[in-house]
Amino acid sequence: MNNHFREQAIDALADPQLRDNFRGAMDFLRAKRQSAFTDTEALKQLRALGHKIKANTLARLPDLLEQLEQNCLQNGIQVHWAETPEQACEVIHNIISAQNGQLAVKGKSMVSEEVGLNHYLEKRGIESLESDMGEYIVQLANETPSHIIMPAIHKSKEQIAHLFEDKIEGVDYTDNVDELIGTGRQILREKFSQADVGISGVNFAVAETGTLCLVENEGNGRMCTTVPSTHIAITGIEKVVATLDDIPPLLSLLTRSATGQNISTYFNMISSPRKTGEKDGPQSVHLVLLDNGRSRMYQDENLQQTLRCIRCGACMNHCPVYSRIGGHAYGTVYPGPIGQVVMPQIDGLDKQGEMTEGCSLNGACGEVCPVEIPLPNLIRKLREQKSAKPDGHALTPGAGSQRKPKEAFAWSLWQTLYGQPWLYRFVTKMATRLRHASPRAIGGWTRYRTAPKPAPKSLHELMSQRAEANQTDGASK
Amino acid sequence: MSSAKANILNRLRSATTPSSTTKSDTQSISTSWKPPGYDQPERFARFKEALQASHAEIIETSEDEWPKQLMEIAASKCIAQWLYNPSSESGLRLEQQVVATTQCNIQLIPYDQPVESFKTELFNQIDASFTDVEAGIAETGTLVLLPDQDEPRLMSLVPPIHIALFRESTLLNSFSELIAQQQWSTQGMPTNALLISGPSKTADIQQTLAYGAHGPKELIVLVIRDIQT
Repeated sequence: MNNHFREQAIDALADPQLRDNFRGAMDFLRAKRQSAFTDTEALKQLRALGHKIKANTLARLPDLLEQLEQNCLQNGIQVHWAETPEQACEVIHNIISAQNGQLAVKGKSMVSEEVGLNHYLEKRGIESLESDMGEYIVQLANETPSHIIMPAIHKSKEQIAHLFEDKIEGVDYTDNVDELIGTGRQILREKFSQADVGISGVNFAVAETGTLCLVENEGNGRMCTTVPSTHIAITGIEKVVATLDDIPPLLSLLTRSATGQNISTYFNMISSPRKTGEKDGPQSVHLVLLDNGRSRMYQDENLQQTLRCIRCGACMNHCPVYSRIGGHAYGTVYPGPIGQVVMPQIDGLDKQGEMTEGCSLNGACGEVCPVEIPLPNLIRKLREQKSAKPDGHALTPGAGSQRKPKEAFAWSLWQTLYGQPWLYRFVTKMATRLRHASPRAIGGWTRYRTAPKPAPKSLHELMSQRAEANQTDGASK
Repeated sequence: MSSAKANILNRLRSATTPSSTTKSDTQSISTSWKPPGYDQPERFARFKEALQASHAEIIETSEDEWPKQLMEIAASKCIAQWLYNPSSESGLRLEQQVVATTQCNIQLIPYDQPVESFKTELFNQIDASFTDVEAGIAETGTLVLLPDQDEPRLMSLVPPIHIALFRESTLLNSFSELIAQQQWSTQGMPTNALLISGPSKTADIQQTLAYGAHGPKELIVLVIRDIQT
């Protein structure tokens, strides 16, 4: 099904509450990030290092993935590979059903959203409960996350208070945040102690030691990966890093870019299941490595840069479009600038091409990206591909699918005009002389703006007049 | 080899051009980033400031005084059921102090059985836990815990109050320094290594900070100032 980005964006803009919620949240996150990076020179150096580490990782990606697998296996962590969301869900379902699991608790994982895991498991009779407070709220409301770091950012505390009152038995309305969190804590603690399986994402998977690293503040990630007897971690193949030494700079970039924290409350490094004599921790740990289009992104030397992403969300926090329309308008798992780059490459430009238009190419996302992904360039690249003449070379699926004959004709006309100076001069002269005859209504442009009218003289004419005037000036002296 | 694995790796390996582009790309990036280093007493000041900024409570004490101070905390917070490690030196001193402090009705509970048979007690009855700390990181105000069979992972997570005993002599500058000191790259990593910087928290409801989201609501750090300045 085609995504209706345009309509959804228009709807979002018409919702004042939603715009308020996002405005507040974005201002908050931007200020937090700014206060964490006070030394601009140090930030520049750190970003360059982040870029370098991730680029080096990508250069050795297949070898590092094999090394990661080998070291995980040696540590007792079982490794599974999945090319598609269906494969990933199936692998996870098989692990859960092999032990008759009924309840899975989940830490925040955008990759599990990407593969639609909750839905898949629930259809097969397994309760899959989100335990990150934001995700819990979103799941309670039957929604999806609107931000990759703060999933319930689109809701005000009053909206959440009403949601809790409606959906949780015995809970009265309160918009006291401590009480709301207390309610969530109480319910989820019960679930942590009952769950058969804990599911988590991965922030960094260290190849040299076979270690899974998780970044979080709440402690639900630690609960999910420690209390249930089985822990399943799912991650995209790009989350591997070569060495432990790569971690400190990347972690510092991640938490500071995401929430302006110098470090998160918990940084959890898991290297093996429970060993003999240990009292807690899962009896078995599984790692699911998901491709889902990533190895295809890897083929293109430009689009490959997408895979440097460490999922901090800074690009969306600084995007003027995201700040106004919010995450749901994109209609995709990953919203904002990184979503505009990732989603068309995963789902195809035919389905997600339109979202690349929700960008003013202002460049803010590229400027804040902690690993220097040139997001505006990549968005432009994908725009180009979606309207390109299909020549069978583009790697992104759906390339050329959004080519509009009228638009293509207009541009080819422009090209001809620009390529022939005499024709160009003739046409601009006509346009300036006939300026009063220019149309008053030009589609979408004039819905909110007055129609532009050509100037009485073209810039070209003005400049040559000035040159002539200067010459006469010079001659008279 | 599973076919998914073979297919993924084949696709990655078939992309020869991008990898070489990336390599030359990274060679041209130069960066002078280094993890921070602090001198005494700046190191401890940084640690304290950062950890307090994350809402942890810091109590500076000495090798002789800490058990008494621990009892004062227990009394002020009405801690009755206390999870501890009886096989550690600090656990033994806690035991002795509890016996000596007659007015406190404290029950010390060891985490000496698998979590499967201990869940109800752990989740519903325990008021606080007391653990040692492996090291500290000054830059970020971080405690390093390496849970093992005597001090399991959930000790620092499930009880509403976590009290940690930290020696200033174990304070390092940065996470990078910790990785080097522990020799994890060559010796391998422990089952679980934790960096803890403050009590559990969330800002998921309208960016309002709330403590005790899922883990401890309070983190109290007893710092033994065992470095002469």
